[in-house]
Amino acid sequence: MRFNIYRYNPESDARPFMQAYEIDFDPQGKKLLDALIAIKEQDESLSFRRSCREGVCGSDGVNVNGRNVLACVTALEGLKQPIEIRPLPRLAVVRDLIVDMEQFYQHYRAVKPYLINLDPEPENERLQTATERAMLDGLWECVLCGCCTTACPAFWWNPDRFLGPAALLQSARFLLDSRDQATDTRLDFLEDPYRLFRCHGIMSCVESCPKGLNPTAAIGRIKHLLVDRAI
Amino acid sequence: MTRHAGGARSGLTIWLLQRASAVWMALITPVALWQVAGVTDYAAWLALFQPLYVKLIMLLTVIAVLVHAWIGLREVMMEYVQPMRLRLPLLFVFLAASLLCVGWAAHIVWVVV
Repeated sequence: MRFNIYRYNPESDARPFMQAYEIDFDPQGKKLLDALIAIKEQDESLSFRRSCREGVCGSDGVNVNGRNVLACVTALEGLKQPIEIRPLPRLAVVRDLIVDMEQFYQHYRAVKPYLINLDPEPENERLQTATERAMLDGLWECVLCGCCTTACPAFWWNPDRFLGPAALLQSARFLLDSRDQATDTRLDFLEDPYRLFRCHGIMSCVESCPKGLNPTAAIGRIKHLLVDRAI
Repeated sequence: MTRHAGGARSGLTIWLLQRASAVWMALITPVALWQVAGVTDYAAWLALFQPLYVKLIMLLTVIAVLVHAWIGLREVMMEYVQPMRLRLPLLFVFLAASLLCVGWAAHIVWVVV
């Protein structure tokens, strides 16, 4: 199988370059991460993140043939060769396929991704009805791999000010939680020309989400809450 | 729920204006096309614009188009024109041009036809 992989070691390379690899590998039933590991056996200087290798940890997001994917859940079969593997777009490259996720996590932290509830803590747990719990489906499953945010042109142009689909999906996850009491301050934070409203609904995030989530719909639900509050 | 002061809170208003102007244009365009289709000469064209409500609707439609266009241009410039010393004058130029267009449209609707 033939691969073209983005290589960059800031300590020794003047600029990034694409390196061609050819390995003897049967793609049947295998994922892209298996091939990356096989390549690393051949050339151990190649760097990439991976951990759980089953689409739960979200650490092996890469850009493959122009699409952001999780390497561990992307089937090798059917990918056009040479398979071009690059780091996630727009983020600074630490080395090879490893990107600096700090900006991404900063936006994640900014939406206060935790339950804010000032009531006295109950004996056991804060209960929800089945309907209230169902509101969170399609939101809690996010693994924060960054595939959606780095596929979003609005994030490319304003990465420091637009929160990006992943952080906004997480914001929706807590805004729509019946146990959360900070709806108002959360909405105040989002009602700004950049943080939420740079989203033009082009749904690049939906297209690239490896977990099949819909950040555009989540953003729509936040807009709904904002309109409800204002009018 | 109450709103707290602080931050530049223009995001929601501008987004709502864009939506509202879009809905207005979507409603008016087919009606306008249908009305204009029946016009065969200049006299009929003039007659079409005589009622006050038509003049008001036309003016409102022009405003909706310009509001929508200005918001769209602002969105484009927030992404592609990053230097503020360039973006701000451009936004003002577009705003001035839009206001001139509104005046011009009012003139056409009330004086010319």
